[in-house]
Amino acid sequence: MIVRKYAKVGIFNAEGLAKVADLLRMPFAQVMAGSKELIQDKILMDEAAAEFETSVLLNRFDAGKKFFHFFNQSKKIQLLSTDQGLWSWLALAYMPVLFENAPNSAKIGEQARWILDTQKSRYYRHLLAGPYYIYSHHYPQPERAMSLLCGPVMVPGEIVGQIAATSNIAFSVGAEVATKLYYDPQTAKIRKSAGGQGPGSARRLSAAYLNQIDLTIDYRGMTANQIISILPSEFNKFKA
Amino acid sequence: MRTSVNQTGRRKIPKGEITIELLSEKELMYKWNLSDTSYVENFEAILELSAIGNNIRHLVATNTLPISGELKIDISPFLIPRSILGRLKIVQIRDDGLRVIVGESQTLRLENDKFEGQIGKSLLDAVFDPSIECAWVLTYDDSEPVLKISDRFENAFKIYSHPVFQFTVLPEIFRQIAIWMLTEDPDEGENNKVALWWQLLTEYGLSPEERASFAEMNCKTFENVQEINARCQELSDRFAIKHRMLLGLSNYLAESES
Repeated sequence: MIVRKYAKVGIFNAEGLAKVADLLRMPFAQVMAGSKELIQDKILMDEAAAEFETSVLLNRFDAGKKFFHFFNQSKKIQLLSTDQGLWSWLALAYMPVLFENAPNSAKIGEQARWILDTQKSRYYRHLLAGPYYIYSHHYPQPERAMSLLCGPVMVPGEIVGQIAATSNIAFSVGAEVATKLYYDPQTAKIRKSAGGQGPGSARRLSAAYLNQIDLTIDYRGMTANQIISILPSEFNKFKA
Repeated sequence: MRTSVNQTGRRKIPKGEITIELLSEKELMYKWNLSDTSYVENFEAILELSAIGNNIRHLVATNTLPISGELKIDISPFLIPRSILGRLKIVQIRDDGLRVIVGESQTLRLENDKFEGQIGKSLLDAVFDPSIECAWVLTYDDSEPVLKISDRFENAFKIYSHPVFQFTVLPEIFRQIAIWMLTEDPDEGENNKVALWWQLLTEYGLSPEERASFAEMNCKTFENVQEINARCQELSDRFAIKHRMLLGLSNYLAESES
């Protein structure tokens, strides 16, 4: 297990971010080797005092919880919770641990997984910041957003793509609705058929229902159960 | 064509009657001056503020809507205050618990929404982004065009203010946005900047009839795509001619050679 402890974290500057972007286009082995060098290159970053260790992350919930505590350790660090340079450094520092605990098929993937994209519809793609923002918003009841947090860090899953891409749903009772419909607490996994484009799927919930009724119904002022009670029959198979 | 006529009985609160403005990273000023406050009984006025990582609802009135006023709102939970968007909803609460929107504002943007790393408040926001590999790219987040400019290399960010970029690339940006407008037909009622873009296309010759016919067009046929492309090229050419792009570029080259 590759657990490292840090007394300082890095905040990549513009040149550092450009180097990270270049590195992520390289073959996997080069990325792994290069990331270790980049996170230590003082020319490419500023530093901030903060305790940080790359312990294993069981799932996105665990990641959200870990970074929630990380950012709460000091006001100075809290102010950096949206910093692109810090999140990119954290992601690179975590890279060996993430891959060690991921399926063999796990890939580097798109840049937004490692370099935080602060566009509203793309922020969630960051492997560490995505779960943190969801956990942080729903705290002290982050389990209400389990549909967005139950998956592995390296493979967030389709539900995350469908729900988290619409921040009005992800950061409201909409996340709880998705959890009640699609999260199975017995298996701690997403129910079958929740993905895809079929009737009652998460895609239908976000694009075909919540985003549509948002024009006429103030659903974010209702409870999750009230919303579920007015869902069309295509969602019946997911209602408890 | 997506209709702008509201068929559900919702009343639109006219543009400019409500504003939001950042006072600091922790406080926002909400001001209103309403021309119509006659809503049915048993309603709530909810100001929704949303940004990446947050969605906060603020109850600003119940059953009686003051004509004008201002209110400071705590935004300390927001992770990125400068990306806040607002929406005021007048909500009628029915006996069965359903909350029906009977009145609403269009999307509210911060009066002082200059982002760090952005070039300012304009019809087209420009954002520096080190992750893009080409010099610039247009994206359409939040239903409006955003110009992303690479700053991944030293000095790369300067291209935005460089005359060559302005004279040669702006018409192409205009053309691409025109294509997006004619193929997607974004609703001006939902986004003020979209309304201004429609206004701009009208100024360069796009008639309401043309807009309607393009909106109804099936964009999957090659002939239709060609037609849209040709019309957008015409609009873009007019834009370039009006702003004397060729003359400007020629003058710049003459100056730099002398």
